[in-house]
This record gives sequence, structure tokens and C-alpha cells, in this order.
Amino acid sequence: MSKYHYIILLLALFFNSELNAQSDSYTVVPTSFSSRICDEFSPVFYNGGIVFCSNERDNSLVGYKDEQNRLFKIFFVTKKGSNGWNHPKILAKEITSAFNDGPATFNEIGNIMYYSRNNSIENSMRNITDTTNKLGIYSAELIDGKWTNIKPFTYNNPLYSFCTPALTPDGERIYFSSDMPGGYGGMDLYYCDIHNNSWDKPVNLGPLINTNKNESFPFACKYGKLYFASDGLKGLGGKDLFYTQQLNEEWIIPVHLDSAINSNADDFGIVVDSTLENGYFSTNRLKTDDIFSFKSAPIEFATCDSMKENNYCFTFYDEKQQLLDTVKAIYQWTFGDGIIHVGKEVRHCFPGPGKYSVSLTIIDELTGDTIAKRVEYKAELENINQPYISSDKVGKVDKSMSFKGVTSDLKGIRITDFFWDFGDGFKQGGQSINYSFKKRGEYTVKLGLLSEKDSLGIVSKRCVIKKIKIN
Amino acid sequence: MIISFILIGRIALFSQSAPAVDENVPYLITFGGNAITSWGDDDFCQVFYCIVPPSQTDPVYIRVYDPDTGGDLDELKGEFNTIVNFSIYGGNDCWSDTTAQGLNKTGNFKSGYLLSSKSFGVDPKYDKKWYTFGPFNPSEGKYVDKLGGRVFKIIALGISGDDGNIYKYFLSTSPVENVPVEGGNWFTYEYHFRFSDDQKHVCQIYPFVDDKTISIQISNFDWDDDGTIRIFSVAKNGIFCDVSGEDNWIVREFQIVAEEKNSTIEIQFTKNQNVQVRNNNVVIVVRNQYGISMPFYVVPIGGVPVYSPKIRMK
Repeated sequence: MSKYHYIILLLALFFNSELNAQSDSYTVVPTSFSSRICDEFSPVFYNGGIVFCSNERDNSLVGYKDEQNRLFKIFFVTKKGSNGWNHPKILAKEITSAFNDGPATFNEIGNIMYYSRNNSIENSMRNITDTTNKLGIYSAELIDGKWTNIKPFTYNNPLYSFCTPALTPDGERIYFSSDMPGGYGGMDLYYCDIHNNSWDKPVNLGPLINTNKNESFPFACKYGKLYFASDGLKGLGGKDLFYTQQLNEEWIIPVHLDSAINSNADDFGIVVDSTLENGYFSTNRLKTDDIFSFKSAPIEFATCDSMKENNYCFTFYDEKQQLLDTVKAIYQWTFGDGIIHVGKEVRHCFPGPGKYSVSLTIIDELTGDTIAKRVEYKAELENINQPYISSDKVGKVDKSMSFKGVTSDLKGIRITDFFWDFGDGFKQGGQSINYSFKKRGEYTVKLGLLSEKDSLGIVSKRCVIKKIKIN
Repeated sequence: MIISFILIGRIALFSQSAPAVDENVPYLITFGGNAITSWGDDDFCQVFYCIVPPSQTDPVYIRVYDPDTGGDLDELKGEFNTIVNFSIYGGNDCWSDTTAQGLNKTGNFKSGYLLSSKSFGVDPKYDKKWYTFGPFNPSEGKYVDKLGGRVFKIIALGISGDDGNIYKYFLSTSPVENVPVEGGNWFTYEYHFRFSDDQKHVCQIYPFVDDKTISIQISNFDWDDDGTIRIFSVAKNGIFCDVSGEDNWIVREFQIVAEEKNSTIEIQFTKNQNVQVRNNNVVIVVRNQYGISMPFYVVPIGGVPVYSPKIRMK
């Protein structure tokens, strides 16, 4: 496959454009290892440095070069001092082909790599007019410092492209882009979960994410957030970066990233660190594809509400009951759980929100006759319209506690971002998060939430606090 | 108007005996005029009204079971010496005269046009047998729109003697058997009846509460502490009513809530489970907040009231 066709697959929709004015939320700058002549894109963190794709010439390669010398290889760049970068080098010759390689993705400990490349890498296949040499996903294992055991992804198909793989941090899922049949048009995003060391069948992310154009360059970060690029979703032009995540087992509507990151050029191939505040992304806003770094401004929540506990326990009574002790009536209550509660006033705790049917039968104690038979009362319990921090109230020093932000009770807004404050300011996190307190005492845990933009483009903020005691 | 509507709606009913089967009241009772009230009759006079619906154009008969005072059904005091007179009244004033709707038996309670009358003493011919008054052309009764038919009045008056005459009525289309008048009913303003000797006995009577009522006073006479009296309605689930002792009245007031207006309430009588009281006769009266007596229908208007709890959660 020639440089030309590779660009069609991955970059054809990228156009240079005017740089958008930076917003207050993010600061973006080009990285120093990104050249203005060659193309660099799809950075990922690896071994303290960054692995990315580039068509920079590397004389160490004995490879085929097309007429424009635009074949892409997987490069690795390491830090130099606190702010600088060393000169990028080919990541590993053993996984470098004479065709296009990359982008790549690594597991958390860095000994497993999945990457894209052309399926046929025999020199005899080199033909720049050959469009049949599709991209496939391959895995490699780092053993004794060498990437070996290179295997094609289970679902590679020589008729279609499978590219831009992205492993989740736990390695249990891989996202990728493909134009295989069954999608919504162009390149679609899919994922496979791993079970017993084998990947399940690909699952399309669905029409909320995929469009009839191209969705690709996924990046799965900590806390379940999935970043990706699309030129089909509404954006600023060209490819724009979005994120989504599965909340309550459903994908949220993709959130368009800040205008400092997105531009009317092509913006794609993003990676963020574990704080979700810093990272790198790819853009051709300066003509060639470059890797920019970004840093987000700390978010603040002006007011946080004390969380109210939901109550599912109620006392049931007959309002007409005259409350005279002399009334010889036996009140029998049922709450759908098969237990009969007896008493003119009974207290019952329901398992949670929902619709319940309460039934009352009144028996005449003197005659045994039924005064009222199975009189029904419909009770509908709803949780308080608030975000809710689900966690233990008491923990122990240095013992990890699990916190979950429950948003299902929020009516009318869709949550897109979770921020947690355990006493040191809000930091972006996932819907669920673990935290260990280092000292005994009483802590105030805050959960801040951002919603998707409303019709006026306004993002709502909600914040709740919960007291936690650490023994 | 509401009452008539309800009555018309219940036109298919066939309980024309008084007391009615559903009341489970064994018999009515009237003592001779020389009896003492402590035996369970405050005035030795019982006034009942029967309603003949407009659809009934053929003659009707008012039949009395065991009209004499003698035999083993009636209550003997010494030797039977009692005469009780049964009189049937029709015409315009038989019901509409305010005295007729009152409880005082010294005024013009015999208002209306006397249609038939007969006095009974000790007469085995009528012991545990039916005596038939009539025929009466329904048009001889007073048509009362709010009652949904023509009204006849029957007064059982203890003329002399001191025994208790125990009897019951039937509104019939036949002079020789009890053939109910479809849609007919009976009512009274002062219910004198004989309670069962069976300790498991439960009976109930049904006063109707109109839309002007905000409270009722239930008065019972000579209950002899024979068990309990309770009130049931759509809003009352067996509230105890005070019971009278020997030869006295006791009055208890109950508030009427909105949903009880224009409905029947039930006064239930339960026998004393611990001590057997025999030959207990009782008088029941219900008055509204103005002291106006309220009718007991033997067939409850709107049906037997069923308590409808209002479940709430807090």
C-alpha cells in the first residue's frame, strides 16, 4: 500500500485550517519533538516516554520508500530533563515493516502491544498502486527486550481495514476502528472484550457514536472514558475529538472537546494522563500532522450540597381510622413480599425506589367478618433528584475505599464528567473510584459533575458532599 | 331526589319483609299498653312505612306474621292479656305530616287516611300465621317523590295488657302468600325489635344519612348491656356506641364526614359473649344535628355500607 492509500485510510479527511482561539479551559502547545516537515500523530504513553506514528525518515531502516517518503513507522521519544525531549527513534526494528506501521497501544505494564500495519509486508508485495493490502491489527509481546510473538488480531480480514487499536488500562477490552460490513458507514468504532485469553466478537459502539462517516483513533483512559475522533459528528470542521463513556451500561452522547483542542482542522489521536488533566493530541492545524500537548485548568464547583439519604421506610396507616383503642378491627397489611404485617399502623421498608402495591384487609375482631378486603394502595418511591455518593460511611486508614457517583436519580440532565475531591481539590475521575485516606479523622468527600451542554451551550455543574469517618 | 334515584336503581330488590333477611333482626315487638318500659319498649307503639314503587299498579297487601299476642313466640308476662292494634294508613298526610315522621306518639302520629285496622288479642288462629291487610290500591298511598314511590303507614299500637307482641311484616302482591313487590321497601324512625337469644347472633339495621347531616345521635333504649353496638359506614370501621342499661336511654353522637353523606350507615348489634341475656328487646333511634329523626330502611339505600380505608404513608 502506498502512502497515498494510507492517507486515505487514516488522514484523508484532515485539512489545514485556521487555529481556533484557545479557550480558558485548556492550554495547548506543539511539542518540540514534532517536526514541521514530517507528520506525527497518535501519541501514547509508554515507558516514561511517548510512542507515536511518524513518517520521518530513519536511515536505520532498510525499507521500501515511496516517492514521497511518507510511510509511517512507530517511533519512541523520551523525556530530556524536566521539559525537553530527546530525538525520536524507531521503537523497535523487529516490528518495523517495509510498509506502514502504527498507531500502537500498550497494556498497563508495557509488555503487550497491539498496533496497526499493512497485512502484507513481503517486499514482493510492494506496489504503490495496490489498494488491496489493507491494514490489520497485530499484537506483539516484549520478551527479553525484544518484541516477539507477533500475531494477527483474531478478526483481521484482508478485505477490510482494522486499525487504530486502543487497549483499556486493565487490558480487558480493545477498541479499534474498521470499515468491515455491518457498521454505519465509513470507519466505525468497535470493541472486543477478552475472555479466557481470547477476544469476543466485535461489538459496534452503535449509532450514538458511529456515523456514516469516520470514527477512529480511540483512546481508552482510566475511569472508563473513551476518546475518539470523528468527522461525522457535529464539530468545528474536519476531524474533531470527542469523548464518551458507558454510564449505567449505556454510552453517553459524545461530548465535543474544548475548542482549544478542537479546531476546524483535523484533530485526532489523543492521549491523556491518569489525572485526565494533561495529555497530547494530534492535529494538522499547522499544515502537517503534529503532536500538541495540552493542560486543562483546574475545575471549581462553587457550591456543594449536602447529600440527603434516600428513605425507603414508611409508616402505613388508615387515615379514616379513628384511632380509638376500642375499635375491634385487625388490620392486615401486605407489601408484596408475602409477609403479613398486623397493626393499625405498620412500618415497612421497601428495598429501593420503584412502584409498589400495598394491600390492606381489615377483619372484624368480634365477628371475624371482613370489613375491608384487600384495599390497594399504589406507592411509587423515587430517589431524591440529586447526585449520590455511594460508599461506606466509615473506613480505615490506608485501606482503599470504593466510591461511586450515582447519577441515575438526576432528572433532565446527562452527566459527562466526574470530579472527585478528597480534600486536595477536584480531580477528574470516573464514575467509580477508589481512594485511601492516610490519617484518621473526618473527611468531606465531594463529587462534582458536569453535564452535557444544553440547547444554549451551557454546561451544568452539580456537586454533593458526603462525610466520611476514617478510624 | 338522590334517595329516589337510589331507590329506582335498586328496583330489582325483593326484600319486602320487615325486618329484612339481611338485617338478621328476628322480630319486631310491641308491648301492651299496660306494660312497663323496662321490658324493652319505651312507648308501646311501632310505626313502619312501606314504599310501593310506581311500577306497581296492581293491589298490594300488608301481611303481619303472628299478629296475636299468645303462644310461644310472644313474650309472656303473667298470663296473656294483651291487645295490639294494627292500623294501615294512606293518603296525603300519612307520611308528610311532620308528626308522623317524629317519635312522639302523643301527637298526630296517626295522620293520613285510615285504610284498615284490626286488633289482636290471644288468638291461636293467628299464632305463627300470617294475617293479610288489603288489598290496597297503590294509589291509596301517598306518593313521595324523594322516597321513589307511594307510602303506606302501619302502626302497631299496644292497646292494653302487658305482654310483648312479637311479629313481622311483609309487603306482598298476594293475599295468601308472601310475593314481594319488586322495588318495595320498608322504613321506620324508631326501631323496636326483639333480639335473638343466641349469643352468636349478630344483627344490623341501616339508617340513611342525607346530605344535610353533619352529625348523628344514636339513642338506644333498654339494651341491658347485652353485648355491643357498633357503627360501620364507608368511613367508620366498627366504632363502639355506648349501650344502655335497664330501662334507660343512652345517646352517643358521631360526626358525619363528607363521604358518608347520602349514604347508609350500619348499626351492628353483637350479643354478649359472656353472659346470656334472654328476651332482650331494644329500641333504636337516630337523630341528626337538628334532632330530626332519621329513617331506618330495611333494604339499605345504596347497599350495605362497606368501609373504605384511606391508606396513607408517612
